[in-house]
Amino acid sequence: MLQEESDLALIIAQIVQKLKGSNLYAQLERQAWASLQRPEIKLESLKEDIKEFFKISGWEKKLQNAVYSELSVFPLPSHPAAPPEHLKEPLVYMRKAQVLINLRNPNYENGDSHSFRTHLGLIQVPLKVKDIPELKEFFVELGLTAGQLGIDDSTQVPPELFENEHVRIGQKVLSEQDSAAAQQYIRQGSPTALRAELWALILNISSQPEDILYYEQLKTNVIQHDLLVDSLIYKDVKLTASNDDYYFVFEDYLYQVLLCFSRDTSVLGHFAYNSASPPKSYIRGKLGLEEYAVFYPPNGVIPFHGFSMYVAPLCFLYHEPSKLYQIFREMYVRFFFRLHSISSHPSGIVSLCLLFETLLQTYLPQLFYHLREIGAQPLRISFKWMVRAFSGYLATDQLLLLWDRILGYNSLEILAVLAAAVFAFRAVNLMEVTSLAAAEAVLADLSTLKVMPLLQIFLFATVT
Amino acid sequence: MAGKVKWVTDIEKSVLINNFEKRGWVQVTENEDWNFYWMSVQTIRNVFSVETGYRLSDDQIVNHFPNHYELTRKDLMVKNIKRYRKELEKEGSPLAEKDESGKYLYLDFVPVTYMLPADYNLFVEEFRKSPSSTWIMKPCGKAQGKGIFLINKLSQIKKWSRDSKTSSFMTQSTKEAYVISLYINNPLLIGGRKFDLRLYVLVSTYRPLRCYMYKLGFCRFCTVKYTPSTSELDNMFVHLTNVAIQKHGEDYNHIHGGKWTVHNLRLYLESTRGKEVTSRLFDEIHWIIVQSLKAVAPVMNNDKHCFECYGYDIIIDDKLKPWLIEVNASPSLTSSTANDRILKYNLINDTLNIAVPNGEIPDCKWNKSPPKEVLGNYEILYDEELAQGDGPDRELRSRPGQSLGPRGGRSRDSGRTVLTTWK
Repeated sequence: MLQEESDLALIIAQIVQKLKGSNLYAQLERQAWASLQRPEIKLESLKEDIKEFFKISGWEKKLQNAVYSELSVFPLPSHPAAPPEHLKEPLVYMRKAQVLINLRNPNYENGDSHSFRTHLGLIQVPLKVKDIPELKEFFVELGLTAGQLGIDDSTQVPPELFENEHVRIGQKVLSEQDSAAAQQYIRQGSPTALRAELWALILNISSQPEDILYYEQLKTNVIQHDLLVDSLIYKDVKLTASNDDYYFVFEDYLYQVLLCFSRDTSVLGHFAYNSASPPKSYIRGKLGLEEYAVFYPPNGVIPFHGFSMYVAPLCFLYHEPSKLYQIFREMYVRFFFRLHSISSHPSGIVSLCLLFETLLQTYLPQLFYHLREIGAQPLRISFKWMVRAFSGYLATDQLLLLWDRILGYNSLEILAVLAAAVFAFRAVNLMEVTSLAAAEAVLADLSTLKVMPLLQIFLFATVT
Repeated sequence: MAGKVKWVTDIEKSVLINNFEKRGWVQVTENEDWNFYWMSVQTIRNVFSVETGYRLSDDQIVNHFPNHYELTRKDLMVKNIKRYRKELEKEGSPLAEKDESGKYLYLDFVPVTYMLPADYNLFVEEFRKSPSSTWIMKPCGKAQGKGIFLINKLSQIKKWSRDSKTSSFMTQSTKEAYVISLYINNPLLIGGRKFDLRLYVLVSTYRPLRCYMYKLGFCRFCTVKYTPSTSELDNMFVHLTNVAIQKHGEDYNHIHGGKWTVHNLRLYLESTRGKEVTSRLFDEIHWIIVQSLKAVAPVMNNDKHCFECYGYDIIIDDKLKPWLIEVNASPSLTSSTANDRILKYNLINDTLNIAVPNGEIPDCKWNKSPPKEVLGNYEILYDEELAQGDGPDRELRSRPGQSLGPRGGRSRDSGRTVLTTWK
């Protein structure tokens, strides 16, 4: 008990410390001073009256949302003597694997097979991943008895059964401006018209003048200085989004967002809980001297082929560039960075790969074995889907329904589950292929898939 | 005895020919006995011209109405709509209601347009009212963006005024006639780009009016970012959405061809603007299509041998108001991308299923009322017969997610206030 209490106290202290430096704190202070003018604030009960005022005027809600936001990314409580690297990544061998050659747990011996069944997949690291019973519990709102957008809003289903009520609740959640409620609500999907606002609420993004100013400042930086990574961005956009049926329209927006993103040093903050570290560059002639080291690019993130596809779907929701930028940045530092850093985090790409392989091997062993035999390890095909969070592979409306759930469950595990569900769906065809190329062909086009039925069937309707 | 349908076409496009062949139809020449002739607009002019005295028999169908130009020529379309509005006003119909500034509330869907050189003086008067406006000059008889240019100064079209002064009677051949319309310089932009909508509408008969809307319309985007700046008025890549023009731009992409499905547009608008305004926009688009057809219905030669598939071009402005730009009698059947080919193939397929029932030798005396199952990707846009037959308490509200009203169509000419539910 005592340990939990002191853990809690530690977390509270850390969050308070973090929020003290934020804009919200300054606003609250201003509001508190201004409220002294109000007649209902009495000197003898100053503290209670101001608290009451905050509650009524919605400022308490804003504070709640901010705390909730911090908790979403806060790493688990650790031993007070743990060094900061542990916050980034607790497993030593993972930390050392940042320059990845071979990922192997030195304590683990393959002979010890009764606790970790012989794994036929490519990921040979014993990370803890959920099995289907645990997933069913985790994703309980996706169950067969609950209504879902993506299933129960199709044209054959009368809207009175689920859709109308769900929309009404969504509007209420928005008017209450409650992040936690929004996150719970969106597990059953978001109505198209409410999605932009709901995501902003969950990510705790409100476009303040300071934010818009900050974005304008970044844009000025773009105009004033070129960066080498700009070429990577141009190339990436031209190769991916510009050729995409849905996203080609937003080419200019993608440049804007990504060029600014590269120059945004506030992104460096996420390295506190990201297992990776930002690359460093040294002023000419001063190699190795820490005083002359700079992070390069300024945000510490080197874009790669397909990076722009993280931004592209958001363009369907936000047509105002500074809002689009803020939303993307928050999505990146909460979720997307995990898809290309090596860590033991359950939402990290390594865990997702392992989860995918384990699900497939456990519940479709014949298929897994067959594919492996013909040299088509399933992960070789599904990896690219998960790294991109399925962007560019699914139809946009389906992708947005999927990302609703990522936000709702604050986890990327659903990507692995969907990948396994896709294989299950096309299992019959896959059993007949005899080469990797043929397997790729069967799984080349996901644009007609409906994600929610697939997920539901895989999680809740398959005999396990 | 059911023989095979004999077809002729003077438009050699694979999307057509593949559809004929898949039905097992037999190709013949125009001099032989044919049942189905997919004509170009030049041919239809000849077939129905007074001199040839061509008579179509009951088992012959063609894909154009004889005087389709009442709708598809830019000047005649405007003329017919203006006439239609005046008629409604005269009979005191609530449809012709105007607002305080004299603008029609429900029938203002064509940008202010004048014919040149005939209306030159009227145009000048209008131009002087707002001298900073931009106008678009379009030749009446051309297509694919040919001959179009933008002006913002009277001097740029002096030519048309000079001509009208010196000629004592109309010597111009119809080819030189132009229309000049107020340019919509505040189009809705997506990703900073201008786009327009191409929608396909099939008309099987004008009296009673029966028309179908193809669900799979698309948006055509310009490859270059839009700017209303006067320095770019000459840059056709910024302003004209015709694929024939955009295809030659540097950034033209052959994978997606600069096209978006209407479904994408709907998703984008609902997400960024909300559901109600998006539904209202699509309702208005259907409305203006039906009104344009009603406007020309009285003057159309409703020949029973004819059906027609029109390509409607619509621009949406930044207030989410749709504008009818023009109607094409011969929408392009060229495919610019793989998706395009599939779309146009299916378009022709569904069109033939409605126009030539069961793929059998046609009989023009049939009632032109196909069963629901053959519609394919078409939806009934308006069925005058059904609309007149239904009672006063017909449910008009359509389910969100379905883009068109119920099968009964809408009774716009009934004058009841129920038609304004969504306005």
